[in-house]
Amino acid sequence: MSSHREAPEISKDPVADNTDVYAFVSPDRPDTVTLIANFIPAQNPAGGPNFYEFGDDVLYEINICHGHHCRREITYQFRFSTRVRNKETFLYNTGPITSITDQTFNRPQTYSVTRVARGHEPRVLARRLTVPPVNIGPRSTPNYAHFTAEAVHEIPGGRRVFAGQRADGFFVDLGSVFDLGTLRPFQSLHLIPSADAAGVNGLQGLNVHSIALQVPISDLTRSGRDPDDVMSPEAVIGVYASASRQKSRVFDQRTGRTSGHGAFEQVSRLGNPLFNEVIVPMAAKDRWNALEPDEDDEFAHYVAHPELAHLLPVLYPGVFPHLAAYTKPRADLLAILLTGIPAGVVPGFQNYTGPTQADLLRLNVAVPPATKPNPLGLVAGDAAGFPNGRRVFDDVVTVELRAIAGLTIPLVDPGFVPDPAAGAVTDGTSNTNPPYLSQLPYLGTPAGGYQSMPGTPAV
Amino acid sequence: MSSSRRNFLVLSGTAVSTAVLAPRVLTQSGAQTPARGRERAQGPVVAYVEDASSGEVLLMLGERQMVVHDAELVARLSGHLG
Repeated sequence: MSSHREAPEISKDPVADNTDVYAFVSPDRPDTVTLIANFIPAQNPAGGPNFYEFGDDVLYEINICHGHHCRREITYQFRFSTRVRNKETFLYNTGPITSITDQTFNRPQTYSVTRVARGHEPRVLARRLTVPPVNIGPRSTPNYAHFTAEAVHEIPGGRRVFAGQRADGFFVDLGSVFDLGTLRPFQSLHLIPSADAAGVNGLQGLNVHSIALQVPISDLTRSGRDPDDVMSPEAVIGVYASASRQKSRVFDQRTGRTSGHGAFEQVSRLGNPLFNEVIVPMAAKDRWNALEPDEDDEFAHYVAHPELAHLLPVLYPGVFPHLAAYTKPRADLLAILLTGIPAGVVPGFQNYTGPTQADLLRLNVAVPPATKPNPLGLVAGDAAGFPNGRRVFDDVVTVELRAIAGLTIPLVDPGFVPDPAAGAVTDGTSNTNPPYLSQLPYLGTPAGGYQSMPGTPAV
Repeated sequence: MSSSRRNFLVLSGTAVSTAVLAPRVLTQSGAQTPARGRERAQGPVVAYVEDASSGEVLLMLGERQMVVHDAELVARLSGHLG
């Protein structure tokens, strides 16, 4: 998945598991950037009575880098606090919850937002902001969509924030890609063939927990201004999200709970989708999660010689002969994923942060929102989309599949001719969850526990 | 924790580096006991010895932590489990 359960260690700690990160100039407020970090993957909407919630013991952060060091220069921190109103019931809600502050909501959660800028004292922007309940069903959380507006909070500095459950906006055919790299629309060409079929969104009907922050562009740039020159280095920011836990956890048998002790240390991070998932080898994934992005030169070899690019010609015999014969380091992927795209590669565009290799979602904030967005983003001529940041609807699976298959090699090596399949390869999925919204938090209304039907088992 | 993150947090003051924001009650030198009358830690303290031969113990209190270099203390802690 994008980064759902992408490493052995974090797959055992879903509350801290960062699944997707989005960063884009807000189409409805183009003087702002929206930053979204998702956590807690693959939520079954009916997963009660202890429904999904942010961890009070997890430090959630959205980090901004600018400049060639690729270090975090600005961090927004989110800390959650949960309480139980009625300690004599097992119920999540003791009646219909009609507003976010209803007393029938038995397990309300609030959070604080703190902005930390390098060299400055941390500044608490807001405290005790409310998190909406999860979507239980029409009796417990009637007219669920209205909770979304209630939970979008205006906070100082022209910022807005939302934290709570959403429909997962990421789409991918999990069942097929993890079955020896099968792409259903092309599986007749697979080494173990079967009839071609439509893709199946493996995340259909599943929810996540989102932190969505919308801030003025000037809140993020090195100069503190709103740049309008796309070719200026000042216009580029690097974004990644992270989750940290305290150094030690001790189980208290008297309470049946664990308590944290010591400084927070990073246990999960995410910049570009699928980086740790399909680039980093399994044995190194846990270490990658604990490192800062500016230490990613350690993993550059896996970008320069991606395992999946070697697998495609094996799994699809005869389909990728040009890719199979290409032995040079993948300078196209190194640029897209680790340094940003320098000037001169794509006419009129760059999102280069310098030679430091760091997995960051790089966003050129001087590129305005597209009037006719293309989910294939930059490779389809839409410079407002991935890998210039990432919008909720960007089809990053297709973009990255095609890039790995060789479609982007000519950007840096004009003598290379991609295989025809490189421009057609896809897993065949699209968003089949509730539709995206046109304003914060942009991700759709989460699926309800009562309303959703379980999946169809087959063996 | 990487050096860049550590530096950032020390500058920002959001977390406690071993050298900068250690609680006064946790001695950093090789002295085995805090001076008499000095304030003592409030709340649970967790001690972690990764390698007894290093003579180092990591002390954790709340969201803070520090490394204490005290070979005799480490030897005594390890000895209790020996």
